[in-house]
Amino acid sequence: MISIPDVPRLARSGALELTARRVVEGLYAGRHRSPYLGPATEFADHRPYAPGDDLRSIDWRAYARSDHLLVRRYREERDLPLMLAIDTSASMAYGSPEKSAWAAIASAALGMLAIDQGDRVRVCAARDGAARWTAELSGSPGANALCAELSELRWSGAASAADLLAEIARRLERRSLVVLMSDLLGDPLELARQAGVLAARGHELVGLHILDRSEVELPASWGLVSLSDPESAHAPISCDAAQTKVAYDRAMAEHRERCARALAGARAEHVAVVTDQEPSEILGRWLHRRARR
Amino acid sequence: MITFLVPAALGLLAIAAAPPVVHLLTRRRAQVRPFPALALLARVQAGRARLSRLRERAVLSLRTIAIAACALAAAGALVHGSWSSTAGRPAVVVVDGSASMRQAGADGSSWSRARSAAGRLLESLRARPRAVVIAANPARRSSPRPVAELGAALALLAESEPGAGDGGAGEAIAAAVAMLGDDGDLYFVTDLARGSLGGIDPAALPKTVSFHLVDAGGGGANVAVVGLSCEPGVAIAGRPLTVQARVADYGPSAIDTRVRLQVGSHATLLDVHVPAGGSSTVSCQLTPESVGFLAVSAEVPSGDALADDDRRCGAIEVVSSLRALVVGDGDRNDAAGAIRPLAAALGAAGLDVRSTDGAGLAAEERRSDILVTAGIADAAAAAPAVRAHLQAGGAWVQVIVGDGDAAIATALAPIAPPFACGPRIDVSEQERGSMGLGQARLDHPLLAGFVGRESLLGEVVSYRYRLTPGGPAADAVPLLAYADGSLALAERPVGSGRWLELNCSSAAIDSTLSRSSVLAMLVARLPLALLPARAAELAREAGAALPVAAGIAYIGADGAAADAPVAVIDGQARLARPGLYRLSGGGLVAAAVPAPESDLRRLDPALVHLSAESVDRATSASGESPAWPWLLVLAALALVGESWLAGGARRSA
Repeated sequence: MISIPDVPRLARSGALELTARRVVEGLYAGRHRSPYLGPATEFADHRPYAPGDDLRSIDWRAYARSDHLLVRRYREERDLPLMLAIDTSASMAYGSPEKSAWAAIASAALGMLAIDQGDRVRVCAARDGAARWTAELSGSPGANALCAELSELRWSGAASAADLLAEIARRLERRSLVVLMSDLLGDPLELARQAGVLAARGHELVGLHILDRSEVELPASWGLVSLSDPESAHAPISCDAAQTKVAYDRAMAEHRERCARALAGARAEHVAVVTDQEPSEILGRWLHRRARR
Repeated sequence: MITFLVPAALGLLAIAAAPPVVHLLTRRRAQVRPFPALALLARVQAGRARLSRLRERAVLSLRTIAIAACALAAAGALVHGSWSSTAGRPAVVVVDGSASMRQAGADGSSWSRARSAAGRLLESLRARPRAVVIAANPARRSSPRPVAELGAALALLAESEPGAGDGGAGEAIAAAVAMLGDDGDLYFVTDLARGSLGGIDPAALPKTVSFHLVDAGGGGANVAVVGLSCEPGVAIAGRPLTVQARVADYGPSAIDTRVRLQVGSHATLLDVHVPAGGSSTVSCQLTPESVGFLAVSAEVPSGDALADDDRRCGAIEVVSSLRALVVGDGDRNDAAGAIRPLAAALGAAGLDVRSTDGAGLAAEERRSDILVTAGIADAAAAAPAVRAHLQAGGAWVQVIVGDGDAAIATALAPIAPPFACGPRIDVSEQERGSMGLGQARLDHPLLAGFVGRESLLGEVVSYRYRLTPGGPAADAVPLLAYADGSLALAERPVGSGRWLELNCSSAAIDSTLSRSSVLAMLVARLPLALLPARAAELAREAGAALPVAAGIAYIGADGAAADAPVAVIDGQARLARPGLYRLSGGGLVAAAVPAPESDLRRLDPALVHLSAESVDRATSASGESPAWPWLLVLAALALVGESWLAGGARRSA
């Protein structure tokens, strides 16, 4: 089991890289394939075999020639870089473990998995109306840079997933696989609209809907509690958690369902994540499901 | 409007603040936490928080209402006005108009307070038929029945003044009950002086009539001349007479004062010590020389709250001799035989003797000191005059010689005779039942003259007209008895009068009584034996009615004022004011404040199983009905509602 370190520890890129690498190894151990499984239409070049690659993609002839295991790559795959869209608003810094930590680890793992397989990765982190973009990262330096970039993220301010998707749709020219890491607490209708825009531009979207367990199921043990939004100026709300739990849990389930429908409407995937779940398990299950598609 | 029987219990209302206070003190402090999904929670909470707050406040309110309702019920809340169940119920306000109500104080007289209280009561009985009765002598009322219109009642109140008599509260209450009919409220506004409840029997009131005793205030110390009498009760010219004045101190401490006692033109100043709450008597002796009327007065220094009783007037009629009225129906042999020796003996004893028959008894009775009856034919007709004679302090010698004589005792009930007559003796078998006297009580003044001459009594043989199986009455004194023990003569006091019953004929044919000197000796001692024991009150009660044959005029306290004619209605004149009255025939009559009216000390109504209300209380409660049953129902409903709401909160939790 991979324990998710807290954010200050993750801020050290080494720790993040180490943790992400363990996740990636877990994914390899589960023989998860790359998320890029577009139809093989045109051969592009070879790349070294990596654990987890489909044995069917090994070019046995090249092996016979060079005595190295090489995997065939096609144009389709190479033209679908990974876009990690990360919601770095203050609400992501909530939870135990924090949603931000889970998002950082998952982003690093997916990015390293992509880089290991020779793909390019970009990161777009947005908050307070400003977006932070990285260049396309690839190769071993790219993995290091990715971890460094993720470690430097500051989880504060306000942002919405819809705004982040809008930013990506506006600036991302190349068709990409966009993995959105967010708690999706905004308006599902707006999310659906921006996901639709993104899909219309040829991007493929996967939304990792990251929530803390207490957000999914309001703990009755909190009793009388005054809750404040770390992200908005919404006035604190006092309630008896025991009395409110049933109605809140039902409302949150409906919200998650609406988010899933919003993404599905744009032919995007919705992956429900609760931070007390293993990143490798969640990502592995998603990759497996994607591979079967 | 709401009033309370026990206002002090309103302090319990403070407990009603307990639920909110406890709620505030024990309210849990909310723990502050960040929570990103606040917008979602806000949508969920929007309705629930409002509902929760409402439920919480409703629970607190219901608890407060329950406690407050219980406190109000404990305080005896009463509602009145149009909500009250008494709306439309008739009411009569009786105002005490007795002499004690003339008491003056620093805050006005008792009468002015009572009149004001009655006015306020009448005003407060706004939605109800009402009337006012002034309990004076006689009572006056504003209307025959309670009416909605208030003017007549207020006008009667405004023009009325208290009298000098006892007010006749009992009669006024009875009149008010009659005005109310079967149902209503009766308010008696009084000063609660000792004599204020005389004649009132709350237990005798109909159960459907609510009796309210309203305290108009008053009371205090008072010194008064409460009695003026002479002894013997009949003043005879040339015989010594003692005039007595009784002074009472109805205050907390004894007093030493000086009494001015005046008889005719002779005045005497007498010092007297009167113990607290008691009375003392002063007296003077005189021997009136001539017949006629003497004005008498006794006076103590004035200055207390009630001036009317500081001076008391009386009138003494000096006669030449005692007056005896011999009454018998002459057509009866036995009666005629008995009366002649009696009349002769009375005349020989120096009494002024007149004779009449039964029909003339009523007219002549008032002018006699000793009444002798024998052979009365119509007992029922004679009984009222005999009763009046006894009640006026006279002596009655009843000689039983016939059925009518025996029947008078029955007609005088409940006044009991000295002894009850048994069955009539059958003369054919008893040979007229003659028997000698066997026993005599010689220590009695009537028989004291026979001491040493007892043989005279032993020689008397007489016919007994009745057996006396019951023996003498409890307070009777047997004087003579026959040899077989049956009673021949006995006497008993009746009020201030005396009843002497003789079961023995004075007729010569029936007994040896008149043939010997026994009858003459008995009759000669009658005035000494009967009348000296009587001390006649020299004044009648003010406010009383006096039968008068002709005119009567008020001449003031000392007889010096100009004659003020008094109205005579149906042969009755009302002695409304204390003082002297001159009769057209030349006689004098005095009226004085009844002695109980001088005792201004306040009566505890609880002694007669009543409770008094203050004027404010009665005024506020006059149209009221108890609200506590409804308050208890409200408290119960509030508790049921609280349980339901609190249970609902727990279920939703």
